[in-house]
Amino acid sequence: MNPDEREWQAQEAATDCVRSGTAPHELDSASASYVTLVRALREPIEVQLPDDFARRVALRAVARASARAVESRLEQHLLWILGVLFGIAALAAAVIYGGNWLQPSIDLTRRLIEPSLLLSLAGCLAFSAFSQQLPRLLGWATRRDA
Amino acid sequence: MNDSPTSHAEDQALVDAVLNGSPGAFERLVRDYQKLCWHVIQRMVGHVEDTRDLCQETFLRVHQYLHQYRNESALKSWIAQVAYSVAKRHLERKRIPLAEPGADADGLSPLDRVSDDFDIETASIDDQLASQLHAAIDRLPPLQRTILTLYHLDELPIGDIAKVTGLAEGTIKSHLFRSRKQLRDALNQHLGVAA
Repeated sequence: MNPDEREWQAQEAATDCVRSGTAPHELDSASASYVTLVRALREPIEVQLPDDFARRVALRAVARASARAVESRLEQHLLWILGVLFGIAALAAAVIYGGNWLQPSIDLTRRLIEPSLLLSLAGCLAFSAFSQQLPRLLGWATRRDA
Repeated sequence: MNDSPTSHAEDQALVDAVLNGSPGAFERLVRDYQKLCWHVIQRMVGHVEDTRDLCQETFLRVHQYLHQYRNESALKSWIAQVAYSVAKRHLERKRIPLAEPGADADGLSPLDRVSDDFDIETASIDDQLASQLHAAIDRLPPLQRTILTLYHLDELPIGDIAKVTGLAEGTIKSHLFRSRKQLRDALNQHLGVAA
């Protein structure tokens, strides 16, 4: 056991002795030298809180929780109102301007789902993916040749 | 500290009572743990008025976040952890170093100064000796003071102190070892006993 370990054991022996209330004369001299310190460390610290601290804090905590609940409810109500307003605005926009873009949008969607257009789209994507892989494939070939 | 499953069951019962809004449950929780809260914050902050305010802030936070308490550790440790983080933030705001910053301009660490400030001339009888010893403890950096108090006065196991402070168990042991050795050496030196 190294000296630091022995010292740690002495500190712990003094701590156990004071905690259990056994007589310090049963300790070796190294442990006994810590008894006064351990006793001082265990002396109560004066708690300078008012007698009604717990009651006051509890009341305050409940008041704050209620305020938070009200705030949360208000937020939910505002979000709901905002959602309804957005829906009304979207509906109004569709009624007023729908004639200009509703039919062209439907036509465009129909054209998009035509097989020939889908085929062209798939071809474009395949070509794009291949062109991205090309430099890597060429680089691999160059390194292999080297 | 009693860390048995029974005590955890009691902790959980109290937490459930608070979360279910049982009358007087939170007041009981505060009463049960206000002493521990005071120990942690007073040792960290060392100022009575600030400690009072921070104790209140701690319990308001405990009330707000109690639903996050998991029964894996004792409620005592969880509340000490909240108190520690509240006090730590306070010290950071005031730019007060939490731990021994190492040797300062005069080449002395705060622990070295414990020994120099220990005036045995006025500490010849037990009460005065104890008072000098307490003054020496008060001169330790906040972290060391708090660790000593949690271990010796509140009897928290080293593993729980590690959770409270967010430090490794080895670091807690190192702080305990060095602080106690330095304080004991100061005591012995002034009593004329070979360390």
